[in-house]
Amino acid sequence: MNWIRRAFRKSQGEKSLDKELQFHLDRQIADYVAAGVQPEEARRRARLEFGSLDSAKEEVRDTQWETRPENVFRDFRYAARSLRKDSRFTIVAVLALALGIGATTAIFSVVNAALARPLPYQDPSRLAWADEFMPHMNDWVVPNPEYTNWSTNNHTFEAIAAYDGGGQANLTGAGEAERIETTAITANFLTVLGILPVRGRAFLPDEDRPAGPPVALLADSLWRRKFHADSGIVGKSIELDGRFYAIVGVLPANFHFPDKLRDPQCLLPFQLPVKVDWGARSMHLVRVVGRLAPGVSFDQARADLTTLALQSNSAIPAPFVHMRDGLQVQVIPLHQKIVGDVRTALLVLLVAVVLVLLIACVNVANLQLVRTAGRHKELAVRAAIGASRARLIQQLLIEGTALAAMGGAAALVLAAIGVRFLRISLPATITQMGAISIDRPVLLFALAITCFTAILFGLAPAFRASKPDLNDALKDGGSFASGSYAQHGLRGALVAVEFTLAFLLLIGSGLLIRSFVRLSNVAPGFEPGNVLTVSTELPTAKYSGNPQRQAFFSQVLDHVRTLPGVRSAAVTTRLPFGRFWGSASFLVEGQPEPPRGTSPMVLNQEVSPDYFQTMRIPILAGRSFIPSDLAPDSHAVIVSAAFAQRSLPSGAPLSKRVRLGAPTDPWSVVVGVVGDVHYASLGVPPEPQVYLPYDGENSSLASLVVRTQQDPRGLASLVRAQFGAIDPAQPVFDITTMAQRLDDSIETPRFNMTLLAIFAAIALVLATIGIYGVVSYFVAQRTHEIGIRVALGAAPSDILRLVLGQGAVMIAVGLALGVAGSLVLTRYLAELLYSVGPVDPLTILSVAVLLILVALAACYFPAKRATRLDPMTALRYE
Amino acid sequence: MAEPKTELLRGTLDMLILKVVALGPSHGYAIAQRLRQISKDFFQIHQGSLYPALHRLEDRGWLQAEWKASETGREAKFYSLTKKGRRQMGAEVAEWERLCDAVGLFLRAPEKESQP
Repeated sequence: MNWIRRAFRKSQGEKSLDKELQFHLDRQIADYVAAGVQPEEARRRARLEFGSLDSAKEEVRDTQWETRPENVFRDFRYAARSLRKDSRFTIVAVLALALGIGATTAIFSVVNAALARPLPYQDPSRLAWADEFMPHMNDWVVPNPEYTNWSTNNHTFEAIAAYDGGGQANLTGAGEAERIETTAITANFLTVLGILPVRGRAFLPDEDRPAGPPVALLADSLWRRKFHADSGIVGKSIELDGRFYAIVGVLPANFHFPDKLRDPQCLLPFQLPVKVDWGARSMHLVRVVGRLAPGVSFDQARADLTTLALQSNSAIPAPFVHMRDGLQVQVIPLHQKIVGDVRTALLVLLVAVVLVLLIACVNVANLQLVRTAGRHKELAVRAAIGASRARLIQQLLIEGTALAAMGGAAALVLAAIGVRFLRISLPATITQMGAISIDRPVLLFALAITCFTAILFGLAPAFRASKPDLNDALKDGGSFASGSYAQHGLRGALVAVEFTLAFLLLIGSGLLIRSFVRLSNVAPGFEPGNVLTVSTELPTAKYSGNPQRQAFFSQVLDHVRTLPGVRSAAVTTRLPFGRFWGSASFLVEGQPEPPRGTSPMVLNQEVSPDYFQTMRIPILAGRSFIPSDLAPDSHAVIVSAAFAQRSLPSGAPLSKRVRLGAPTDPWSVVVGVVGDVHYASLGVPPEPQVYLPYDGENSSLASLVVRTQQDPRGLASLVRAQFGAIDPAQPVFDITTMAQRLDDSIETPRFNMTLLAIFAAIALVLATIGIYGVVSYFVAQRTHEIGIRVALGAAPSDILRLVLGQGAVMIAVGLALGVAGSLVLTRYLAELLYSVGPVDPLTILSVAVLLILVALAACYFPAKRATRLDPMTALRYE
Repeated sequence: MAEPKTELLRGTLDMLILKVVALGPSHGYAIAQRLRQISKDFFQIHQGSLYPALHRLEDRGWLQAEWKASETGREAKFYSLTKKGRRQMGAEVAEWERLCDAVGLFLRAPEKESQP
């Protein structure tokens, strides 16, 4: 009790009171001594008469407050004393407030930053994403002539801009060689977003034409990291893949590319043909961003662009025009495009936040009811000695506020920690634009709603204490009267509601945990342990032909294989869960040639002979590649089981012939069938796959997979050094382990699961606190009654049953409502689940059992205490 | 701990204190002593009642307090009656006398009268 007084420092009045009482004591002693009593005895007698100095002071302080409505500070001190007296209650209530406010604020801050915050561009509500759906390709793609058509002929946009699929480039000539992300943009791209470079200028209209000048814009981070924030950077040049680009400007530090998966360090001009030419030999697929003209709706813009798209059909050469059958155009807010597919996950989290906040409110309300009901007598006495109702309300208000302030402070700390934790564990797919920090409006909202609840329910007794049942309260200490049935019913109902909400959260997280376990137990088709991966892209300027590329990689492989601890190593053009892949149209020998442009497609990749052995992908039939397969006239392929099953159904797949690519391409012989591999994601079935021997033909980008004897991370720098030893200007990227890649690939479901599990745990804790509080209170209120029962011969088991029965009713009602609610609500989770149905009996059952066990444990302790009551003490107990 | 011999009626203590202080400014100890002497040991005021009452009266503006040297030379908090306090004391004494008269009348009344 001293800490709080120290915290308030001794006031003037306090010191004066000390001095006054000490004076009294000393005078008493002096008088006894004068009357002939020995000093020792005089001191003892005076002290005895005086009683404890502390308690005298306490009484002075206590009696003062009824008469001092103006001294709020004193009320706070009184409130602190009163909260300290009930320290167990105070700790629990502060914890409940902190969990409720802190957790909800942290999550909501992140959700809000990712989902609701406007994009960091000028007038973002008018920014649109335009796209067209090609049924033939089953994909949303915009060919560049369509973009040019839209951009020059529309009537609904202020401007339309485009950017390319993005790429990477080797940055050399500025410190250590490094691979950086690049994206090509049209000259008006930054204007459409309303972004101005902080140094230099944006691209000029004639810079995004074919054969335009090589110019570049730098991201702020690259400018600082690689060019030491050189203020004279504009006009200097940057070397990418061996080509020099003149730097024309630097982007603002807070610029985010409007595509959550991109973070280009360098922007280049997107050099597209000026004229619409549907007959061009090659086309680009572009991403289209536009700024709507003022007052134009997204629907109007869509109608406009659809008309233009249909008009282009007449300009498209006859063999291709059928590809545009059933074409659809969409124009949606850019915001929706960027945050769209995380909406479900974020909304589920948001609902979880609201549920936890509700539970926290219910809990605080309940705790306040329980606590203040116990103070009924105290307040009645205060009313009796002259405290007005307003005075009591003021005191309870201040107590509620003090409690809320402590809870709020703890919540702030928790929210700050929570935001920090979430910021680092946020998966790339949810990473938003702009910094995440505690969202002030949300914090205020959460604080307001829970603190309001705390204060409101704290006031409950004031409305009864000043009412006529004062006599009752004084007479029996409120042990029967204040535990009125209606009040107890309200508390019980609140606990039942808490259990319902906690049940819903537990079901949600249970489903996510179950589907996450299923997902992470999916066999990827290869052995991810002890495999290191590293990627590189050989610039075409330097490694112009297949022989050079092949020579580079066989040198690297030779180096790496000799490293200690390396079992085997191989080259591949596609890594599991990687960003790069290729596909080709194919034809199985003996089947009719399909009309042009309608051939089925298959994913293909090139691998060196040791690939299957290194990855431990099982060879189901035939053989792996052998060096002689690289001979120009060999044409061997290996297919995956899914491909063999789907496309080579008749008889043995081996020695069937398939043709990849155009009719002019050669036929290849199937020499082996290998197991299916989840290349895209564990959550979708493996797609058919065709493997070709690596000869450097199709891709300048390739990766190394290295199987090691021990933890492969120890070898990372050695492997990197082998690349440098062969070509010091050749950067590598994505050095990581296969296990890590696997882990990263399920980052989003893990994040969702973790968050929901945290919420469910908080909900469980809060609900447990709730039921513990109410049952403890029940026992305290019924001490007298229990005493009578024991005196009349009730066995401990009867008492246990009586108390547990109280809890059981609340649990049963809460569970029944929870099951009903979950049947209605979990279907909204379906999108996030993997091979688990939204109504999963096992999850419902295990959550119910968990909840019942925890709740019974919470009831058991107060019940046990009740059985140990000594009937004599209990009967005397007021 | 010495209990008061008689449970004081609520409000009576306030009046007695005002009466004692009306005799001249005094500190808490002296007030307690005087209450005992005047009442011939009938009232023994416990410090836990005296000081809260003194502070309450001070808060209400009926007493005013001042630190000054006591008869032994040591500083003590001396309470004295304010104008408001004197009015209050008058009112309380009058009220008390009315109450006593009423109770006295009631007690002296012939017992038969209470019969129907």
